[in-house]
Amino acid sequence: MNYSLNEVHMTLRKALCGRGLAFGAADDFGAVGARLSSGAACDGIAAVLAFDNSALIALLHRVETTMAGGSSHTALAAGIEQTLAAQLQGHPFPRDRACAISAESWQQALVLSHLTYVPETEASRLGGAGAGTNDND
Amino acid sequence: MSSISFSDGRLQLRSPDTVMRLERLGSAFPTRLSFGRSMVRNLIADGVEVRRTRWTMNDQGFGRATYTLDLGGHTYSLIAFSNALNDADRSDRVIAEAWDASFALFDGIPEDSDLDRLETNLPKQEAGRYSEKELVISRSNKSVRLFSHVASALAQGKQPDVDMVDSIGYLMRTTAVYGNGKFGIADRFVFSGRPGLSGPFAAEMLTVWLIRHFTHDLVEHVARALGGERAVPLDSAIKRHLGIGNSTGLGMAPFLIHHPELIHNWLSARETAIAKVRAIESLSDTQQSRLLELLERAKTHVSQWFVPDEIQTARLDVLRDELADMPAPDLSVDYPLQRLIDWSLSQSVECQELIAALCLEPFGEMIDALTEAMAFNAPKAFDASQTVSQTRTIIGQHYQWCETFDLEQHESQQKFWYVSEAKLEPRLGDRYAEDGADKEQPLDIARQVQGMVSTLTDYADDTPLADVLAQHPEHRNIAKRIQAAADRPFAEVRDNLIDQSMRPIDLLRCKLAFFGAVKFDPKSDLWTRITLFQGAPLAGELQTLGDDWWLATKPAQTPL
Repeated sequence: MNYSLNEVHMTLRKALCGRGLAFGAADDFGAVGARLSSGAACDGIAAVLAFDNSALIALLHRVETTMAGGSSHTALAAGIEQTLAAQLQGHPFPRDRACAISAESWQQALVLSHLTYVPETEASRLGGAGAGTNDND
Repeated sequence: MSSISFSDGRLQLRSPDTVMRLERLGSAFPTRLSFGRSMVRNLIADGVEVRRTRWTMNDQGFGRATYTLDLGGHTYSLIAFSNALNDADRSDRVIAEAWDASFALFDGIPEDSDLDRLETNLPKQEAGRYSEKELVISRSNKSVRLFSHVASALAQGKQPDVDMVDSIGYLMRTTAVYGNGKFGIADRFVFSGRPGLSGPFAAEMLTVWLIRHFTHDLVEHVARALGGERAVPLDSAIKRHLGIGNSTGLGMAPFLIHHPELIHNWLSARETAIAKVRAIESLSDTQQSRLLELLERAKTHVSQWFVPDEIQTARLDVLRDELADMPAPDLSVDYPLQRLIDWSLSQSVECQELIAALCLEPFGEMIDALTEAMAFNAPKAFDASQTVSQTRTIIGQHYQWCETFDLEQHESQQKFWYVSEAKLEPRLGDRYAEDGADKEQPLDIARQVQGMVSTLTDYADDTPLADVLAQHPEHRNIAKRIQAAADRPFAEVRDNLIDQSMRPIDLLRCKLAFFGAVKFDPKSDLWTRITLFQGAPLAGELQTLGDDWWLATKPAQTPL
């Protein structure tokens, strides 16, 4: 199984939101997960989900403070820290299908994503999107 | 019209405080910068020819087809599967699970094995799995009334009733068009650098234009099966008037809000175009004639636009009256378009937006290149070393509108945007009457800005955002938006998107107008049907008819 980078980004963002991370940070780490996942070398979803929410916020602060201090990327650890710095600075990267995401980490992301969805009810189904449910006209 | 005064500031863009209000966005008309128009110009410029490379349909019109074309040095194919569908299953909603037809825009020429693979996936749409060879996937439902009528008429050797063709406008309507990596299809970056597909939603527009072509072939095929030698093909003028429908719900609204940089590029291009034509000092006789011809076309188009929705009907009644009462414009005076636009300022917002779109139409050489700046492909960046003081300055410059909403009032935050677990359908709920607000999507921009402003009062001016956001990660989303908006004045919809009175239909119309949609047919505040590519050149007409199909009008009835 391989994935598009956008679906890695979006799925990981939702998963992190489902885990309770604020949307803005979840979006950054969704993008980081996509960067890490590009190609066949890394399961970026597993790499990001390995950190809990507090650790991700701390990671953002450390990387952003380091960058603000004018330090080079070498002051940051290889892997997620340097990737986060590159993401925040908008650096381009070689983009390719994500081929190293394990079935387990994808499933974990889907389970967490599900926590962002509102359970179906009859009232929601009939009113929430407005349309009827049959369109034979 | 010469007695009408006009304002100063001929090179000024309209203010975002004017442009980015829901009422005005919800009155948008397609322009020559719309993406459907850009796509047709791309097809014309590249001399594109469409080849039907497979057609395996039974007499009921069920089977498979492929079409192939070369654009910008690349080959693309539309793959279509047409299936039997029970009436009980025909729904425009995302929660539907079966459709009359399903499609993919394929990168290259598909092998039979690709079709076999896709035949087990495409009819399932979101429940299927796709590869990087699929650039776009889509599905459509028939307008049962019109498809049956057209097939029956053609089978009997007659042309369909043009009034019915005009009132419905399409044989099929798409109910979703997915791009950018959804369900495993290609990421947009795979083709965003290719000539012809670099613009926003270009691949989607190409797909939809080809689907329209397929619907024409399909109805003629069914008619031939029904009528045998008696059957006739569609008259080309009627065929050209048959666009492709689309049924659009709430999903478009979050997209607009989640892509502020992209939306800025769209609105900025359009507003720049309007400013450029406003500044034209004088028009040639040819330009004057062209503009008057287009004005008459617009009046006819609006006179043929009828919908059941009471609110839109009232707006159209006003618009028709305004156009009927409009003094004949004297375009020989100086700054004639500025005078025309200034006249419209005393009319309804629908009229203002129609006149602005009209004024763009004859000036392709001046403004079409603006479409090259409408995509947003740059990587996003965020500088957390920005200080509290700098952030406050940007808020003061670009987010004053947020302070106008009293969010202490229940009505001001009554609605919440959410995603249902039912096929992930985007929905809108009532915060005080429904569960689910704890899973709210962050479209409450004004409320987020007010929250950020309140939090910043606790910090010294020189505090870097990094320190604020470490303690308040809930503000990170709005902090990034504020920074992005610093040099993008059209990035934000300047209204309260969770207010009780907010109409999502306004957001949908804005986006659809940028696609090139006409005949907005709201079914409620929450969803609408529209028509794309009505009047657009058919595949064999690209070189002869060109890109002159803004606000198409009903063709004459072909003699029986």
